[in-house]
Amino acid sequence: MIENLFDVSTVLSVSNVAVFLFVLIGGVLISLSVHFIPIGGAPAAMAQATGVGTGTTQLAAGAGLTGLLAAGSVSAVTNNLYLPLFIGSISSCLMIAITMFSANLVYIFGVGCPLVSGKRQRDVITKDRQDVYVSKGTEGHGTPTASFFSGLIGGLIGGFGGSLTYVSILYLCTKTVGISFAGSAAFAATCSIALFYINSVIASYNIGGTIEGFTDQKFKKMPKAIFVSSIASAIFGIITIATVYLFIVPATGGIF
Amino acid sequence: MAAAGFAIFYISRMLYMSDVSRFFSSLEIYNSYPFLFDILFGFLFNFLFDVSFCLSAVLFIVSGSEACRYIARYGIGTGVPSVGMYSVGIATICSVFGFSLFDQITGFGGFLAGISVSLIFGFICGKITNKYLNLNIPGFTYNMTLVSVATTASFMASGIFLFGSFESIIYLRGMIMSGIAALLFIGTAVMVFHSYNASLGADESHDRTQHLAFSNAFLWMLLLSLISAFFKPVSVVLIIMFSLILFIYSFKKYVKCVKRDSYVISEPALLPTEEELI
Repeated sequence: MIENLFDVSTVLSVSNVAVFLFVLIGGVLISLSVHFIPIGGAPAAMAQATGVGTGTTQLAAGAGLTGLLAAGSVSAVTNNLYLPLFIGSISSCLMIAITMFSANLVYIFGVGCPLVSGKRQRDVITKDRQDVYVSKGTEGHGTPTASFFSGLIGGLIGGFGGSLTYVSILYLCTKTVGISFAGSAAFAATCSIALFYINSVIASYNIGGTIEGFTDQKFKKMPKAIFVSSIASAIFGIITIATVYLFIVPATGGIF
Repeated sequence: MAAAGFAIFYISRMLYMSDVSRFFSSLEIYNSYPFLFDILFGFLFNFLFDVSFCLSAVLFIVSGSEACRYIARYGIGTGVPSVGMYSVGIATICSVFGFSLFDQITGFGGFLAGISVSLIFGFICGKITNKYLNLNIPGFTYNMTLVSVATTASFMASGIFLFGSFESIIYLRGMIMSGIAALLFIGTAVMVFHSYNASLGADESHDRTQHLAFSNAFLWMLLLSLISAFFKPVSVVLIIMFSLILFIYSFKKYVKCVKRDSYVISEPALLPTEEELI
């Protein structure tokens, strides 16, 4: 069994390199998507900053895991490889939209404040004046139109990245190695969740906890996070492929 | 035997916390001795027998929460849970890698392999995060490595305690396919970051946080032993009793620290009766 470890031609086949690249791209897309989502952190929970009032990890992971769940359920009933990607990204986008909308309802009818951002004089999309509505001592409240639109883009990208990782690892396990669907789906979901956590925290460290979407100045710091998350995702991809070849092939002989 | 050893260790650790760490902090040496102490004893316990994996998970959780405290004390702006989630992302894949090698290297070698992979992964992630994202926290790389190693080790030790086996297929079928892995991931992450997340603030004191970390870890041990009753019902009652006693003891010590640090303790009055309301 041990010779499987060093069989270079098996491990370095075209499909495995493609899976590695897809995992890398998926990780980078997840990191990119966090920059689009309006995250307010603790200040936004007290209606003192723009965005949804929770941390990066929870928000990104919540939307991303919804996408993974949808992608997983779709891939169980179809052999099409592209359908899970789109269903995953759309359901992720839907989840983030529902989160932002329900938070906005609380901000409007519960706290009683208009949806504005203090960083721009006019909203980028609707061109409405917003600086006069910002309460003194705060940076804005709620999720205004530009941030909402940005959050939708973030949900689409993040869901696509997570589903891409899931589908590529699932493909590696089922088609290349030949494991049963249930086992490979569980393994792929575990790996995708881990990748989601790592990359969302990298993006979170880059933006310092809060961001308002693509209208924010912090959005320009994005290339650094992409560099860091590409390195982390590359190592992650290597470990994943190594695990599949070290673990599942020799230990189980493909039966599990 | 492991229980007696652990009791001796716990008492000596308490003594150590009180005097030796004060000595080192007075010298202003970079205080990494408690972590090394924990990890060394964690490895020693792993050699003893099956139950001791649970005890070593306790020690790894405590050393992880120490390192988590060090990083989060600088105020990274993202909240303490982000450190735990970063480490659990690393720990997930590394522990699955470690479980994979149980068949090919003998049991404890797989454990060591998972830990060494997480050491490398955590080191690289910590290094590039600190350097390129301009966090500039001194000791970030070291502590990020420690958090990921401790989370991986506690995760793997919890898994070995639950299933009590060194065969890869059992972990694949019983843990990853059944979904118990999700519970272990989130449980370990919460136990690692909770102690500092709960007691951070201007008046945060080290020993209070550490007592909370110990009581969290014993609670995790209690939960693990309750879950493991479904897998191997023999000899679980003793472990449940042992972890319950340790949990109550460490939680009492924590409450004592809270009462010591509080400004004033005021007893709440009874709810007003109906006559007083009128």
